[in-house]
Amino acid sequence: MTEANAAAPAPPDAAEQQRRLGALQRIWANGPGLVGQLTAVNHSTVGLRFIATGFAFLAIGGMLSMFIRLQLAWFGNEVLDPDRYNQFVTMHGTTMMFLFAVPILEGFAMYLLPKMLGTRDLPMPRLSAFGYWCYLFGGLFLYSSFLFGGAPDGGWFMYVPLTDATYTPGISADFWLIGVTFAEIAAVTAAVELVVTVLKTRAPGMSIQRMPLMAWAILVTAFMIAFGFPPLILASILLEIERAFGFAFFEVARGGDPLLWQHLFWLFGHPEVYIIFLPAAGMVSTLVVTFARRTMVGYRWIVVAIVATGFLSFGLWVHHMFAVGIPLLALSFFSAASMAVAIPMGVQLFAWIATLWSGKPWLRLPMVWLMGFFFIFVLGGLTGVMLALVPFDWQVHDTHFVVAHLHYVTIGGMLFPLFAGLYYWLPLVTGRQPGESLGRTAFWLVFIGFNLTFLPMHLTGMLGMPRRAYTYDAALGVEWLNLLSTAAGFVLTVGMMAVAVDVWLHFRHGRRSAANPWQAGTLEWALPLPPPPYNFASIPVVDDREPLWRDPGLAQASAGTAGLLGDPAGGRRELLGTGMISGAPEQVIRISGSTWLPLLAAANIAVLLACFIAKQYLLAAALLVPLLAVFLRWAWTTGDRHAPLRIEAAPGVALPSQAACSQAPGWWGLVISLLIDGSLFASLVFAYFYLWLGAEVWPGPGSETGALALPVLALVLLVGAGLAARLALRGNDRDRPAQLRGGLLAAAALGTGFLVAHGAALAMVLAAPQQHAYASVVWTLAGFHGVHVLVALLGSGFAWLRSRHGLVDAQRRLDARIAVALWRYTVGQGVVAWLVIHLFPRLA
Amino acid sequence: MSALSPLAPGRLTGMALPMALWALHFVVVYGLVGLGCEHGWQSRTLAGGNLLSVLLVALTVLVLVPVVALGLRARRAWRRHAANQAGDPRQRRHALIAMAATALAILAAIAIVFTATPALLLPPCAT
Repeated sequence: MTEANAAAPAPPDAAEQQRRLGALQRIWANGPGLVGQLTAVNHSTVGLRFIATGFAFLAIGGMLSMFIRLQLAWFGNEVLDPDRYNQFVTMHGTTMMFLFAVPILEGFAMYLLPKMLGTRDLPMPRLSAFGYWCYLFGGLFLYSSFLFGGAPDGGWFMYVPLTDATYTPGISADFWLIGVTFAEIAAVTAAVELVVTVLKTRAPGMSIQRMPLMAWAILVTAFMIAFGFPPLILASILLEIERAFGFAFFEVARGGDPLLWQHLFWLFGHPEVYIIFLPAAGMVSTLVVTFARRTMVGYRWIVVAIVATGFLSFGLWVHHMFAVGIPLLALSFFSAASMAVAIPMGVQLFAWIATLWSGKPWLRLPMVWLMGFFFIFVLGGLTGVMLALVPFDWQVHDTHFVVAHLHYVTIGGMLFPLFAGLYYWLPLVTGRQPGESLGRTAFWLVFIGFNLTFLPMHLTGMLGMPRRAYTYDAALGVEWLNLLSTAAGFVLTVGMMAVAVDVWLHFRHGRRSAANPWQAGTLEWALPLPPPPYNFASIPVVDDREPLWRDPGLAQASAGTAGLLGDPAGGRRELLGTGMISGAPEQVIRISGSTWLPLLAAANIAVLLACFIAKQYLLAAALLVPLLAVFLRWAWTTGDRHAPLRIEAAPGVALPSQAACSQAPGWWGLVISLLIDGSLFASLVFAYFYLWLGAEVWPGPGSETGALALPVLALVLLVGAGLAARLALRGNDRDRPAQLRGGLLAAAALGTGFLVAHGAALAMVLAAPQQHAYASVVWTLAGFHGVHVLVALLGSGFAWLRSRHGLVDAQRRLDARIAVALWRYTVGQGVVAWLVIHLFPRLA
Repeated sequence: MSALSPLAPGRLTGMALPMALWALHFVVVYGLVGLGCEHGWQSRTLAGGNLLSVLLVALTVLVLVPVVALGLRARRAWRRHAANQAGDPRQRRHALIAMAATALAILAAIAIVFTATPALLLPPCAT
């Protein structure tokens, strides 16, 4: 702070101010025309794309649901035949979860966080642009299945054995597994990006206790994605290689277990509910403060509740599996956690109510949507506690009661806050003020339509109407309630269309908005409307949780160029990096500008996956070469490799550039990526032990443990690679580039030796992976680790090359640190994999 | 443990630690029920109960010890930071995290006890 305050030089004169603003505009704007759009990486552009694409998928998923409701309007209807019904139910759930809910919230986070935190962009803009293209291509990939012999029809949960190669021949299930995993790349890259954004790029002075609750919610959500998505990604990979290459993970006859799929799926699937709820809750916390016109009651308790929810939500997954025959005691653990999670949810709810109660609530349109949220979400929460009780769950399992519950939770808990947030932040995007009249009509149509659609389903479910079935028995006597649901579903749809029309009219004809139209306190409202591509001409310095309420002059100061980073003398896109807890300035981060690389990489992956699904495996493998070339180019040109060691953030305030800073965003990006990868690896180890627990023989038929000599040699080589990498970094830190390069080469040679020795050791004792689950899982485990060794080899080669070009030295350590960290991680993972593969079967 | 250690109660990782212990306990007791029932541990006796239930309770007590210790340590840190916070923004920042660590330790302890209570009430392997 003292440094930042010291940065108050004489303001530049008007001509200089104009020159600086012009330069900022030039540096930060997307390129012109279509090329400019395709190469854009700016967070506003990418965030808005996520949001627009998310709403498009909402419309498509909504249309599918209309067909479902028409089919169920009366028993024995023939609007959809059973196969088509299964496809529509599958695609509706898949679309809403994977292509709407998660990506659109990431879009909101990407668009809003830099503005709320007082920075100019996300610290890894290419990564978020790449995520967007993966999301778009993945979604299109999934929907292209309608053109190629049928859409997936195994349910959004894709249970085996229904979806294995025996019961779902053809490629419909492959479209799901590959398309969804492709789109999930966006979630994972967003998680990396958002954690680093929240922790490292907040405005100076925004220490941890002044962070907006929205940022807390996104931070915890991003960590949940990091731990929650890998189990599903792993499950999808395992099922795909079972389908494509005949491995045995889920097939009982060859030692597999279909429940492994359910565990991995719901280990993702339940946290997923909170992954979409927490960002929405962050929006609620933001809006409640603005419209209650007072600070949040119990800010600290909400922080506690968000963190607790993040953890507890991982203890709920088996409550989707209460009916599969797991011991009752084990079920009761999950029942307990399912009820316990109501505690932090309740804390948040009461804090919001208390804030509104003690404030002066202002019932504008966003607040109306929040009122709808409170009403619906509480009902959904209550049925959630009912479903957490094992005996009650058995009664209504797989009935429409569950359909009612999940729509109350997801639409109430996510869609209503999302619409509230949409109306609240629209002026920021358009510079126009949303009208109230059509918006309110739309709200009531959605609210009434929603409740009349889903409230009756509680009853039809308790009367025994099954879910996921294309019709129901006339003897149940639920046809009138279903007709009501269908009719109300159309009211809901009309309401959604009214929202769409209202937003369209707003874009075209909305009244111009004054700055900060809601008189909010958070930093995004300090921006001129609509904001310039660089957001803040000077990075603001804050000293309060609602900085605009405390310092009304802040908006004007941050639009001028007298403050931090106000003079873009370097001609590059620059962010200010600050301390994780303190929010004190610690580095200047130079980020990348517009580039084709993210689009090229995503398009390359799309073609590769298309070849894979067409069973052109050699071609798919060959496409790895251009993909690696694109990634190498990406890594080589990231940020500014020629950045000076120190950069002036303001006259007299020189800070290290990121390559010379131990807290570089690239470093933290690596840490979070490895966390995600570790979760993927842990899921695979879990799969190993799960299969072992249910197996009659271990090692399976045709495999044996064999002699230890060769595996031990392999392990020695691997550990040697790790040691060589350490020596390399030590050499770099003593300004001995030859030692760095020699150490990296030695690590690469030892790593290659490990791959050969370990491959030979396994080939001698293991059966073909198609023979038994044991061989499948061991080959997969070893292969998974082998890929990491290859990545570490590439990392070493990259750092070697950078050193040759004089871009790495004792001060600019980042590339060397990353290469060595990759080795350390790979060795650690390898030791665990080695113990599991070579030691455990001898002990078991 | 120094205030700069990543596990100190004033750090984000230190704040999350009690809940991480809850997660660890949760995974271990769930895994243990699967493992024990597979190997018939419910029909072996130890210390007056069946081996599996006794193990589950023992593990619960074992994990509660560090959770309670972390909670007490966080409470001390919270008081210390809160007492010194006037005029010192650094103390104020750490007071928030130490307070959250205290509350999360309490919640983790409740969740651990809540999760494990059925182990005292139910036969371990009935389906």
